Amino acid sequence: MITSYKKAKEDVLNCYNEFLQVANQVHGIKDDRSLQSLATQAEKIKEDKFCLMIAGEAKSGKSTFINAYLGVEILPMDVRQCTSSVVEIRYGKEFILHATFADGREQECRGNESIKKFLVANAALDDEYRDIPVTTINNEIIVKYKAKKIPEEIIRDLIKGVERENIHKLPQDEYEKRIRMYIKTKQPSWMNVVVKIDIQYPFEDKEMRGVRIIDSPGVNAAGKVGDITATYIESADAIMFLRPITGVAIEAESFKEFLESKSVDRNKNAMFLILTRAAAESAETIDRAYEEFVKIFGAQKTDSRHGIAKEQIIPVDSKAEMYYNLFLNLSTEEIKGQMKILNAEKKAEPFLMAAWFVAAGEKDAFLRELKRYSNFEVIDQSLNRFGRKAQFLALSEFLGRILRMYAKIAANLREQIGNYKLKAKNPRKLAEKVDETSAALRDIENKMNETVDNIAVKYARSGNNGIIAKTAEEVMNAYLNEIKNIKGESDSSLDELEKISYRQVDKFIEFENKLQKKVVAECNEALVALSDRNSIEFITLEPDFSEDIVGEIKTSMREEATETESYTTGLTFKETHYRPVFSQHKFYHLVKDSILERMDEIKQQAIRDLRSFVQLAAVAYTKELRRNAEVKREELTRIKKEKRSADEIAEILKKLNELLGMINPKENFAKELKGGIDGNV
Amino acid sequence: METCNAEMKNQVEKMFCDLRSKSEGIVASSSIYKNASDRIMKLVSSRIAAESEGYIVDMYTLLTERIKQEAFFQDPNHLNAFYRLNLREKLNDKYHFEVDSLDAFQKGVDYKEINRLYASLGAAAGTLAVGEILKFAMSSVVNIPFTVIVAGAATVAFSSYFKIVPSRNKIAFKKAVDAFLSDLEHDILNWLADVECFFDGQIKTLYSQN
Ligand SMILES: Nc1nc2c(ncn2[C@@H]2O[C@H](COP(=O)(O)OP(=O)(O)OP(=O)(O)O)[C@@H](O)[C@H]2O)c(=O)[nH]1
Ligand SMILES: [Mg+2]
Repeated sequence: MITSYKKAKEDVLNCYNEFLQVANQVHGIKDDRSLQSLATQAEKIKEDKFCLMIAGEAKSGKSTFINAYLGVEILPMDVRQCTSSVVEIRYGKEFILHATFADGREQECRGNESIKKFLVANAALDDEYRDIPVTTINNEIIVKYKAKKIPEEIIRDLIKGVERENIHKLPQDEYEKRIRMYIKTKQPSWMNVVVKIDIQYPFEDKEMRGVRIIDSPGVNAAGKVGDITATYIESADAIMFLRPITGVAIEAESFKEFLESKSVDRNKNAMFLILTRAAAESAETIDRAYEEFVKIFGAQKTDSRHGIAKEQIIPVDSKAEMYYNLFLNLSTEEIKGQMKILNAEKKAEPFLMAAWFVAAGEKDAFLRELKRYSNFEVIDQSLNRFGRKAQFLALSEFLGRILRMYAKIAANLREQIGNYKLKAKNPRKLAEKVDETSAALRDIENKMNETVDNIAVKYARSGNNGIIAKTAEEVMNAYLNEIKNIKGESDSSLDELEKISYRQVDKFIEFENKLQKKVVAECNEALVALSDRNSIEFITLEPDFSEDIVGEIKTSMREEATETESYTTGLTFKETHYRPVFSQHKFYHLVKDSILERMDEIKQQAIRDLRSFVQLAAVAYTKELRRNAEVKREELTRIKKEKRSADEIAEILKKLNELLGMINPKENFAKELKGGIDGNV
Repeated sequence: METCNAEMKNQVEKMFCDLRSKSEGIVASSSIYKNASDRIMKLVSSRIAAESEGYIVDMYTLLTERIKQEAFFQDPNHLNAFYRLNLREKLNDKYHFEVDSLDAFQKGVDYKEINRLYASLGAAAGTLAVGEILKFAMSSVVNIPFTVIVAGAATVAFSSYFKIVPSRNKIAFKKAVDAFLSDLEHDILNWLADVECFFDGQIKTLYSQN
């Protein structure tokens, strides 16, 4: 089993280079399309960046964790600072910061000084606003309303929504006053709110060059994140949710809610719970807290919840890792000096002193102790084990292609060898063979074409006749069954409906992907000898079913969701009047019908995509078949026509046999590598 | 000319039957005109776009099976020549409704954009009548997404209804929907006949070569 992604990636790329060496010597393969698509895929693997998303409540230590992980202090981290926009960090040749403002303006800073300055200025919190959730207010109000007037009810909603974020327990009216004050003073300069920061950094550590890491503003106590953050969450390769190991009630809502949130729900990749500040706690406390977390969150993955295996809950200490990074490049003497200073300034944490004491002034032992406190080694191990599945799969698939190409080349070489031998021995027989083979190729081509026709019709017929339409119907029916039992009376039933619907959209995407793969697999199985699976591009369903759309549906249905209610006035002469009232029940059903229509549209879109895909696939396969037959025929005729002496033929045969001999060990290496990687996934 | 193939006719009829009853449901349940017409248009265009892909597959299969019965194509060389005509690809190129350019739809229905496209089509075809435009778009080189045509046709059909019946009563609205669907059904059948014609024309070149 291979557990280091970086090592596996290197090996695979080496394997590919070896393959190229062979391929370059084979006649007539240079313009093979599989070779070209192999090259594109190799490029993708080379450039592939792993997207790691860091989330957590305010002050849970996100920025510190990232700095420690990257081994450089890029992000400001201080009790007085807060990350107020999404910050994306990735490798680049130079240290560059690129900021986007709420009005779309952009700004670039270069070099250490100016970048630090920008970050500190952007993240500095005014003392008056230290106690209110500035990031949430920016995201949900300032950036959204820009210069427009903010309706009072929206402000009231917000204040209610952030009640639990009153971390310093201000009296409610004071809390509210400060929030209103902040909005009032901040709104005129809404365009200066930074919404996104991109940082490129020239990491020395090569390991970090393949990573894209996202620092996000804290989720609020209800686990909610801003819109931009949500987009990142949906597509991240792995998500790490940070929280201090002690000091916050374990069952505190934020993580639970975060797990249940729509954006997290849509991300099918690995989720980690990182417990920070572990070094300050005794081993006993850590163990107890850890067990507790495992008990609550270490559940198996279910349909409605992200599974978090025990190994995906990791206690760490970023501060310890930062010290490790700092001391790594210092001499023992320098470390001693540093420790003296830290101690004198009373800045050294107890765990640092403890580590120093145990190490008895020895650098290596000191570093070992710090690593033990930081536990960052486990982060990498777990990432490789749980977070890299997609990457490992891509590597394995790539190797699979190389292996198929080797097989194809070997078969081709063997055939050439056979033909040259025949030519040397009996030229007339070769001519006969060419004719025979041509006829055979024609018949095979006809048969293969029929096979393709049959597959196309089996899948893509109109109405409810093809596999595509039938399966789409099944997918839809499962959904209808699932929402049948939702009662339409409460607000939560709409939430339930929405959540199932988002999942359903994913199911349609999955359905589309699955069927495309099935079609290709079926073609490959039937036509394996001649075709190559690389020539067809998959289509991805891109349904338009966002929260915005659902919001629109709800708004427009609210208008229609009124019923007439009667009431009476008057004491002696009663009079009956009628008035329109909002009906939650009616509203639910109207929204549901609208969503169902939307779902049907998505279903039709998937059907259309798939039918069109099947046709394109059929065309691609028939073309490929023909091309392959053509190549074979030409190869034969070429050998037949070549005027070569017996000596020349002997020379050619020697060369061909050498090439064939090269393939075997290389092929074996690729096979072994693939086996190792497959053991991982 | 409508296609005379009974099987295809049956398929098309079935689809329109379903579209009619669903549109009726929408007219009945909605009290806001714009909502209803928007919903019907989406229903019709997404369904037709999906089914038309299926119809091309059906037509190709049907016609291929038919020619394979002929004595001429029992000769493997002739059959091979048939396959080498690439008719599936040609049909696809000619009648495949571009999915990529569906911008107007991907971001929700953009009426303005659709009207603009439709009007430009109308100018080229010399008429704004739904049936004529469809025929023109289907049989010529214009590469306008099918969905846009259907949506444009629907908007035109409904806005003419608006002119005639300012009181917006549901019966008249339903009538406009029915008329629109009947036109469309007729046009789809015409289009299928056109596909058949094209296919036969291509096959002819094979006989003459031998
Ligand atoms: N001892 C110790 N201190 C930590 C650790 N992680 C963070 N801190 C401290 O906690 C404080 C806040 O850390 P940040 O990294 O700024 O937290 P954050 O989550 O980025 O905060 P916001 O951006 O405001 O949401 C800093 O003073 C850090 O030094 C840890 O693992 N151990
Ligand atoms: Mg931060």
